[in-house]
Amino acid sequence: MKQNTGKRCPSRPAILFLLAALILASCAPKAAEPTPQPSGAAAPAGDVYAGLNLIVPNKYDPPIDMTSVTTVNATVKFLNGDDIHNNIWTRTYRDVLGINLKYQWVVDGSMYEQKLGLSVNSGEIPDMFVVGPSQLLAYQEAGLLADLTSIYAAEASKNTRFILDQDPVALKSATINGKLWGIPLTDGSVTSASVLWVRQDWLDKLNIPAPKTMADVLEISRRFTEDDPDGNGVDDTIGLAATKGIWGAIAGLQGFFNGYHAYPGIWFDQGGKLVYGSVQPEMRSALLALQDMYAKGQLDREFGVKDINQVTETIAKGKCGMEFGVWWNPYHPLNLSQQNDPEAYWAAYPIPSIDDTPARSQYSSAIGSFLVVRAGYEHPEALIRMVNFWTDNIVLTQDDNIRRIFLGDINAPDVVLYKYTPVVLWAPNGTIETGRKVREALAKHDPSGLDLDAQWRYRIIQAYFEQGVKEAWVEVATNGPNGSVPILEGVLGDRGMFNRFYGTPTPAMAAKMPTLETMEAEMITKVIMGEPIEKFDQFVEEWYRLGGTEIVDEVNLWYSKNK
Amino acid sequence: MAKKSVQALMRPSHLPLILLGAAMTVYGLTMALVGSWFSNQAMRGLITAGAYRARMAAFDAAAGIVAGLLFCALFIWCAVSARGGVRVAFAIGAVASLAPVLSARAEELLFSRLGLPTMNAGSVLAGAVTTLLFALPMVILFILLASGPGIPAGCRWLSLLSIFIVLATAFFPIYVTVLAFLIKPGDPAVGRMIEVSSQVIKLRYILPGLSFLLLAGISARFARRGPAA
Amino acid sequence: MNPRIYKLPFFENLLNLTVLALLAALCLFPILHILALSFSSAAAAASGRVAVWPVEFTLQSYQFVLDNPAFGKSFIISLLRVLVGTPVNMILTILVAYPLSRPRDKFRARDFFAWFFIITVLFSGGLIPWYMVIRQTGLIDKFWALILPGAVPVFNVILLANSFRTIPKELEEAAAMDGAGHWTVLFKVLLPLSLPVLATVTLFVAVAHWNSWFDGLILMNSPDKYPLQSYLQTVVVNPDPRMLTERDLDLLKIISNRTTRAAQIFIAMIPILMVYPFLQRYFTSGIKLGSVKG
Repeated sequence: MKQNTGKRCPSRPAILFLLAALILASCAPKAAEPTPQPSGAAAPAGDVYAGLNLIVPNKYDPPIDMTSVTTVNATVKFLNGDDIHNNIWTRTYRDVLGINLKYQWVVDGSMYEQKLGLSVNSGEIPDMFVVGPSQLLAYQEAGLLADLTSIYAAEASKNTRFILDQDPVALKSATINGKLWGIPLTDGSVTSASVLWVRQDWLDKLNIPAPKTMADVLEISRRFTEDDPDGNGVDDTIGLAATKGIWGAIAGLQGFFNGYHAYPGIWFDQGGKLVYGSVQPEMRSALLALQDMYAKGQLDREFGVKDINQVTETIAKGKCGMEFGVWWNPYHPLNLSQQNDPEAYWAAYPIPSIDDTPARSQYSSAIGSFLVVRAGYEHPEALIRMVNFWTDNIVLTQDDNIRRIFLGDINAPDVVLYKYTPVVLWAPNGTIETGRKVREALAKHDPSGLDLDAQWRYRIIQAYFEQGVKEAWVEVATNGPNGSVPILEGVLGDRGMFNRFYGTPTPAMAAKMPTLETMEAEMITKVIMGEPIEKFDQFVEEWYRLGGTEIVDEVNLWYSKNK
Repeated sequence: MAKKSVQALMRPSHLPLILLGAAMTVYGLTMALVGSWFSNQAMRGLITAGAYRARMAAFDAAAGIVAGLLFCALFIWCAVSARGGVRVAFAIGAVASLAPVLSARAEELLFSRLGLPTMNAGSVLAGAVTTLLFALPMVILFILLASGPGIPAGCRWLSLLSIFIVLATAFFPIYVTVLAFLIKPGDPAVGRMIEVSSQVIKLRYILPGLSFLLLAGISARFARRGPAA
Repeated sequence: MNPRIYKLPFFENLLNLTVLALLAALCLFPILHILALSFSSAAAAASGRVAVWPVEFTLQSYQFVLDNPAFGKSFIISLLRVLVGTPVNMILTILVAYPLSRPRDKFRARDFFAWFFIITVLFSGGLIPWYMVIRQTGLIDKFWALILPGAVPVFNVILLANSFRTIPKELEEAAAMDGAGHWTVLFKVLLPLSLPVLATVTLFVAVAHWNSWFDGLILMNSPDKYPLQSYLQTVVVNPDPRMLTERDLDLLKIISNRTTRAAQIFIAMIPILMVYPFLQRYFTSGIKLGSVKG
């Protein structure tokens, strides 16, 4: 006889819970699935393009379809109910160029490579997409990409060629075996070169002259550490900032090494062959100098565990006097130090040299991505037309209406419109050109004839000098007459060391370089923190043994074909 | 109570007012000229921005002390030479002489000594405080002159006008900087306003100085001629 | 008769309290720090002035986070995922653990099934086959992709099966003598006695669902379907410093905006923090061993 006390029926609440969960679950997928807006949604009333004089030589009629994939990140914002599937760019491609662009999936930038790899491997290849250099090589070898050589020759407009030719290695880096497989997404290369940023107000306070040689830099570092430049009576300042990654756009040390004529991480020509900078003897003296600085407390004792966010804190607190960084550092993070201390002010200097030979600031090709078309897509020339639209109408425009509609409205600075499309090529010398125009206008005291962007920079600089608005120093330190941008012009000339290897990674490189780079960063950190300099020699030996020799041979093979 | 009869602003002579006006105008002109000279040099790249700051700060500090002391002394002399409401007006005006002294040190005072939380556009705040320190007493001075009993009609009208001049020259540049840096960065209309406001800043001391000179002139003429026939 | 309570001497007590207090503080400090950061101003946070108390109190970060529609959407998706995924996981786990806990003579194929499940813990096909299976079952970009692929966590099954095995056979035999079938034994004998284990496993499952971020990022085709931690991942990630260009400046500013991140992290912590105390009593209730007589 079953005893049913009825006191506690554990199954009943569980069943109710389960039922509720199932009901919820049946609602869930519908609630979580947003209806993807087809690009064919009703176009907003009124012709946005009237009066813009857009150059569109050939529109597809009837419209063609093109699938793609793209990234969004936390900063991308939309206006008026737009989203990534339906916005000014998708509408423009559809209505002006006749291309129905549909995204198969959209992912955050950090997962793009992985998601693309998974998609391609499971057979879902988009018609047009963006790849990095190693994927370019891999997919081309697997026969997944369309050959663009003849299409580019036939359809690329004058402006497209102008932009792509401004960077001498742009098209070459997308060329494999003499054929063009992708359109490189150009950007400034020289803008990644290091300059020396110094707390100028500290220099003035301690009466130290501007640094002209590396010896000056070492001396400044010592004085910043020992002479209490922030005047608070506590020994808490350091001379030079460094991060645990060693290299980088903020507080990276490559500029320091450049002062000793060492060029870590890049390939340069020595006697007709390419050699790798990190294993050259010049690295030794630089390492010894850094070791000495660390021992004397001029580097942060904990730099080996600090990433750029934490070093940003140090800079913001006003505890650090110098950093080797790139031209745009005043916008971030150097501006933070002025926010916390209104008298703070950083000035840019070209990399000083340890001897009489001027130092060269190293930089690599900025081409990190390529637009490619899937093999077998019926309209590969559509990509070239999209690129032409961008170069003919948008990137070089002086028309403020076009800027407002396609690039970004100054009244809504959060909404960066060019992030909605993957087809974005920047003029490699754009920053330098803007800087030059601003400086000319400053010399004449006349901003007429400048486009909106340059004009605004002029006004900010004017506000600094004529109205004492100290926050405007960021623009003065970059585009002002003695700012970081003019220094870049010298780097483009003979004060720069360009990474002569700009091809897709060779097989040995792809396999072994990441490990070798980790080894290198570790060795440098350890030597700086006090281990004997012989560790560097050991590293050089191991580097060659663990794959370096192979890599050097492959690189020189490539170089002989690509001089 | 018998209506107070109209009389000249001060006795026996208007020298202190003339000197005050001249001093203010000269101070304004000097700051404008020196500032333009240095900023031109800096914008052309002949001196570095750091050198520009150092020199301007030094000049500002030095000229500020001299001007501040001079203004203070002259305001007090004016106050002594005047009677009644006019005396009160100039006594209050003496507070404005703190402004030139403070202009170079405003940030240090506000953020280090007083310990206000630092912020975005802190120099705008510091500039605003200094300006307020000048504008407020001056406005009160002109209000008293415009509305006090026994002041010649011409002086009243000029004082009224001066109130607006002081307010405009004081606050227009602050308004523009707030617009440009905090509210609407990138707007080309604001950009053009920056140009205008550069010039307006130069007038902050010059126009009130001229105003004082004119006041002295009108009042002196009144004293000579007697009440308008 | 009052049971005698053994009281520790005064100093041992004090020592205990001190050590425990220190450990508690050590655990609390990071949470308090994040809380303080989320209420502080950005400049104060960047200059490292915040310890356990907010500096320059402001509600701006919370406003920014709560205004952001992506955060709200992903929060709801995560909530749904936990509410649906936990019961699904638990039911399947219980249903698999029960047969696996039966002795070999009652269930002859038990070893085969045990190995069937254990192999999946030892070896895995890798990322691409996993993705391909999910794609071919049509789950990509659907809510159920967050729940079904991981619906039978074998580790938990093993835990539960072992816990069932520790319950004395006599109890089940006693129930069987009263006419109980398998379902009754499971629901009326085994489960009530395994409450601590069940509570623990439920909590593991719920927390695992709440915390998982990788599947959301890989399996969803658009960011509005991300669960909360996937979304947070996109905001909290660190950019490669070598690849930074001036176009990344606005990304840099958000990423280094520690107060917003702190606010987001704290809001994501709250549900788990709230649920824990209610499950506390299940961890402390003991197994009723005293019911076996003779």
